[in-house]
Amino acid sequence: MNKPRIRLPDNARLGDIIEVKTLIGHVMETGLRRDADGKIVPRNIVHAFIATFNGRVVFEADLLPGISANPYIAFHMRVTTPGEFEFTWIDDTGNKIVEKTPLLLV
Amino acid sequence: MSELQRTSNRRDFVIAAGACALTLTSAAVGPRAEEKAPLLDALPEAKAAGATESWETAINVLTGDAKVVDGRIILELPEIAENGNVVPMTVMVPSAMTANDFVRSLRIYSTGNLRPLIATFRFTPDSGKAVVSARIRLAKSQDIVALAELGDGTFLRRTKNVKVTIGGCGG
Repeated sequence: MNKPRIRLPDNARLGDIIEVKTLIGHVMETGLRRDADGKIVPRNIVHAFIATFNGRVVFEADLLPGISANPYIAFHMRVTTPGEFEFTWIDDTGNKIVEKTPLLLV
Repeated sequence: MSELQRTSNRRDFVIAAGACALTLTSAAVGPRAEEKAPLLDALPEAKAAGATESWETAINVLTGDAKVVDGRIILELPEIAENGNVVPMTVMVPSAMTANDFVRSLRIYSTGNLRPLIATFRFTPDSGKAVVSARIRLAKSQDIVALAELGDGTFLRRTKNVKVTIGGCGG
């Protein structure tokens, strides 16, 4: 997994509902493809994505191989307080990436 | 497997979807490709991946006796997707998203991929809006079904057809 990219609005205010855009580099190998020798390439996808804000879960996604490589997920959150996002991606090999991003308000 | 599939593996090594396997295998079995269940059973890969369930069964098991209302969900997908590997999708479920009235989850089902479920998204009242965007893989032209579970245990459902020009991986 590559370093994730997060896009937050730069003019968020209290009370707004903001869109949070996330992207992480990952091959999202389906487990159905065969390599040159005819052997099945084992499945390896990001199967879980969790977004928390100040420790509270805002949004979660269970992903399956029908999600494209380099999964892009955008969701929304109602801003009730300043704070920090924590995003977690977990893939089939147990690899886990955690990214913390503060939400700056105007 | 076939010459076609080996070629495809080399060319699309990084992005080739499992969807591709279905497209190519479908082509090989010809008219029978329309018969979903036998096709899935015939594929060891599909069995290993737990894909023996049809999308109808998956939805029926989940909804059970609960009320399912068609419509209301806005399902944004291209009418024609040139590249089945990356199809942009945005789903909006109208809801106040308060503690008592919110969208618990949103599931996206494919009717033409090997595995019916594409993703499950779970919202909270903190989400503010039950709107989510992602990019999905489609093996071939097909209907996509969005199924939202509301806080009161009822479901909303919306179906949209997508025509895929280059199915999965150039097939």
